[in-house]
Amino acid sequence: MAKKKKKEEKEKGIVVEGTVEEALPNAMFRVKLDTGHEVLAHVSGKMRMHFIRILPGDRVKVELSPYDLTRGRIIFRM
Amino acid sequence: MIELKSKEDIEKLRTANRIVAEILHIIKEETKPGMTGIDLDEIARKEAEKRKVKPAFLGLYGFPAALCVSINEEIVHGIPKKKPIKEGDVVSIDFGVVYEGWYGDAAISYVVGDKISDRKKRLLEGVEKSLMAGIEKCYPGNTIRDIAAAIEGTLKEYRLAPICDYGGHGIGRKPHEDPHVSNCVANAENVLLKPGMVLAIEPMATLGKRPNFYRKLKDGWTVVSKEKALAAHFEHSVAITENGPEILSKLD
Repeated sequence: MAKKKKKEEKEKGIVVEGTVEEALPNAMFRVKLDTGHEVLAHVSGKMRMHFIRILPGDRVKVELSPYDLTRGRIIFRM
Repeated sequence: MIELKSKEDIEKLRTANRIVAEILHIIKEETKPGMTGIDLDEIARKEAEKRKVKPAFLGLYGFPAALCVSINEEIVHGIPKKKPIKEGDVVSIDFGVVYEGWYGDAAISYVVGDKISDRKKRLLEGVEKSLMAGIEKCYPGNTIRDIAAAIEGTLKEYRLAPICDYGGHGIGRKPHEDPHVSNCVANAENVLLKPGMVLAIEPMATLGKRPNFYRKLKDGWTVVSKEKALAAHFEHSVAITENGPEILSKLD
C-alpha cells in the first residue's frame, strides 16, 4: 500500500500576550508584550476577514516571527 | 527513525514477500473477464489463509479489504467492488501480508485478456521499468533522491505522468516505516541508503498529461486520475545489502 507524503509543515512562532500601544498608519500596531518587549505586529488575515477591530489598549495574543522576534502577527483579541 | 534489519530479520521479510509475490501471480493468472474486484479479494484471502499468513491491509488505517484493486483510471488503494472486470481493463493489485510479525508488500499491474493496445503496453512497461530503474539505484551510499530520479527519469522517457504525492516506504515490523520513498525528485528526501534498510518502492503513473493530477473518491480511499487517464502501479520490497539490492518480492 502506498504512503502519502505529507506536505512540509510551516514553522510556528511563539505566541505571547501583550497590550496594543499605538496604531500605526499602515494597519500595523506597536504592541507592548507582557515580557516587556515591544514589537511591530500586523493583524492576521483571519481577523480581518471577520472584521475584528483592534484599538490601542486592547489585550491581544501575538505570534512572533521565528526569524525576527521584533515582528509578529496579532492572532487573537482577548 | 529508520530501523536497520539483521540477516535473520531479512530472512523473515524474504519469506513474507515471496508469499505476496506468489499470491499476486496467482490472482493475475486467475483474473478473467466477468470476475469482480471482490472475487480477486476473495482469492487473496484464501491464498493467504492457505499459507498461514494474515493479510496486512485489512483494517490498516481502516482499509476495508485485504487486496487493493485499482482498475483503469484508479491509481492505487482501490477498494474491491462488485463491478465486473472487462476484457482490456488495466488492473493494478496491491497486496500485503504479515508473517511472524514481519510485513510483505508488493503490487503488479496487468491487462485483462489477450489483446493489449500499444498505449497500455507503454503504460505497463514504463511503470515496471521505472521500478526496476529505481531498484538499480539501491546501493549503500546512494540516496532516496537517486531512486526518485531514476523512477521519474524512466517515466519521462515513456511519456507517462508520475504521481508524486504517494510513494514507497520502509517496511519491517510495521507495514509503513521511515523513510518515505518518493517517486519524484521534488519531494524526495536526501536520505542515505545503508545496508539493512528494506524499502518498498512503488512507482505509479498515468497515460495522462499532467503529473500528480489525482483526486480521492468519496469512499475515502480510491485514488483516481483526475483526467480519467489509465494508470498502472508496480511495487517491490527491496532489501539493501552491502552488495546492493535484493528484491524480496520476486518470483522464481
